Amino acid sequence: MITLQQIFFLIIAGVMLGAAIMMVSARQVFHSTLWMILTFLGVAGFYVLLGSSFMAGLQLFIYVGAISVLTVIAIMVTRGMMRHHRHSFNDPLTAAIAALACFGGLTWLIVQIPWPTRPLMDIPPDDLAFLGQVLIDPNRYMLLFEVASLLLFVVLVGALYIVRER
Amino acid sequence: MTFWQFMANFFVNVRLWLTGVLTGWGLGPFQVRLVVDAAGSLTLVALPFVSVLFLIWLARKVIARIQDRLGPTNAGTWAGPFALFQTVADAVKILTKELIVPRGADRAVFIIAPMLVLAVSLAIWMVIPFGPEGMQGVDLDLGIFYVVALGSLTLFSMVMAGWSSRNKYADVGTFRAVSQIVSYEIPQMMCLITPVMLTGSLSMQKIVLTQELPFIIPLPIPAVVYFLAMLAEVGRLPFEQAEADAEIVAGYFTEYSGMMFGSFYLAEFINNFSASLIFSTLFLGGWRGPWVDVAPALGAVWLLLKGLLIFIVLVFFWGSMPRLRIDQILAFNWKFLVPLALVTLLVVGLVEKILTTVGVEAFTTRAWVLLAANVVVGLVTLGVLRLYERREARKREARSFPLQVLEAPRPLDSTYPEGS
Repeated sequence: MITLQQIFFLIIAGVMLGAAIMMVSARQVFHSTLWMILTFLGVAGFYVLLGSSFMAGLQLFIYVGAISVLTVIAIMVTRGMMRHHRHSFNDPLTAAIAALACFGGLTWLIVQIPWPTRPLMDIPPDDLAFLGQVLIDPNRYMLLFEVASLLLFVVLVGALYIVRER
Repeated sequence: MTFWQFMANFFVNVRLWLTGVLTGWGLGPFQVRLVVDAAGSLTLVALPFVSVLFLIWLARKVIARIQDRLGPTNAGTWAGPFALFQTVADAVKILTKELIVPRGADRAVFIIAPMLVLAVSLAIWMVIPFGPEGMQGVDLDLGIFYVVALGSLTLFSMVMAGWSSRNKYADVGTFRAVSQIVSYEIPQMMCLITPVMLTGSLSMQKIVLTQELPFIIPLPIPAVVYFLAMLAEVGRLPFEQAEADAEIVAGYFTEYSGMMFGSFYLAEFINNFSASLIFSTLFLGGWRGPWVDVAPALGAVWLLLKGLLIFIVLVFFWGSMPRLRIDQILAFNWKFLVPLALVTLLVVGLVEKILTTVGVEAFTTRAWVLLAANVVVGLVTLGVLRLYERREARKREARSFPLQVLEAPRPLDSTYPEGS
């Protein structure tokens, strides 16, 4: 008997796969971006199905709100992209090789890794607060968290250096 | 149950009554829940539409009064007392108009954009708490974050509309909308975090429950910065660059006609009002008010009144502010709002941490200390601004001095040489 959750999973997975195929085959970069956003929304839907609404929100906020907007800005400020030309920017052969290599490598990795079948630790009901505590716990992920923030800080300083008035 | 007891918790009681009736008809619990939830969602979707019919009328009337006009009247029409139903007539008219898709426009994207913008503006109402338990669509544990995440979809529908129209005004409007909204999201997020810090939760319901004092008292600076960022997000004057109607027709929705234009117009007003409601929820105590503990249904009234108050402030801004240039808008954000929000966030976080470590449990006590901290930050900001202004004035003076010597005004009685 197929459950409601599985039906939703199948629908979302179908939409995502379709959107992904449309994304790489769209002739206009802007259309590719729109299909990419649909794929991101599908991932957010997966998180909702898994009962992690915070991750779904993050997915929306970071991938739709930040990365896609960044893509759109890049498209907007790139000369010629806004002019609604209809020609492909793909180099099919290189793209196919890169995609196949990526797909093969990832599949190999996924098959190799012994995936845990149970959660690594017990998740308390207030998982959002738990996530916050784990991130700044010196015994857990504080170092990684701070390194990531340092990286972002360096990026910020670099951006300021590039745009400063000379 | 008397009539007044029923009315006191109207929304919950209606839900109970409907559940009872449906169970009486012999439906299973799942079907009952499906029907009741669908009815609740329909109410939530209908509410913004109905309120917007009134709000458009209100905005037109208030702006008319500011400009010494009468606004819509019922003279010679059947628009009702004070032309209250003028908006209904407008809505009917706009529904009968032809939908024109310009030749060469990107058809699919062009048609999807207005649907998306309207859908997103309605989806925000799902998490607004209109009262205690049972008077909110869903009490998501990521509540306020959900609202911010949906904001990015609004932005995207603007981009879709502007890009697919193939119109240079729409393109310019899109550029402006993207740069403005992306920049103002940063101080908005930072100011959002301060009420969340005091609450310890992202849930809108918990944010309201914590506000024994409205958060605007302990957090006046974040409230003001949030208000300004919110103005920029919904594109109201003085931040109305995205659709500056005196310069670029209507910005990203220049090419739209009929109800597709109507969707953008509606979504804009719904967004204005829901932003006002969210501001009220975050900083003005949400549904809290007198007698809510005896009659929870009053919560909706208080929240709508507070939201209306903020909306009227928006309309006052709309009626009286000049339109800033886009570079001024962005400079104001990056050089003033972002640093101020950052400093306030740090100060509020530190003070709150120190207070909780020392062991000050009562929220009211902490609120006054936080207010003092905010006042200090505000005074320092004013000092820095004054120093900056003085330095700029000195620079201007130094630059203009030689010019003054060269171009000293000619005395009025001097005669001009012939042929000059």
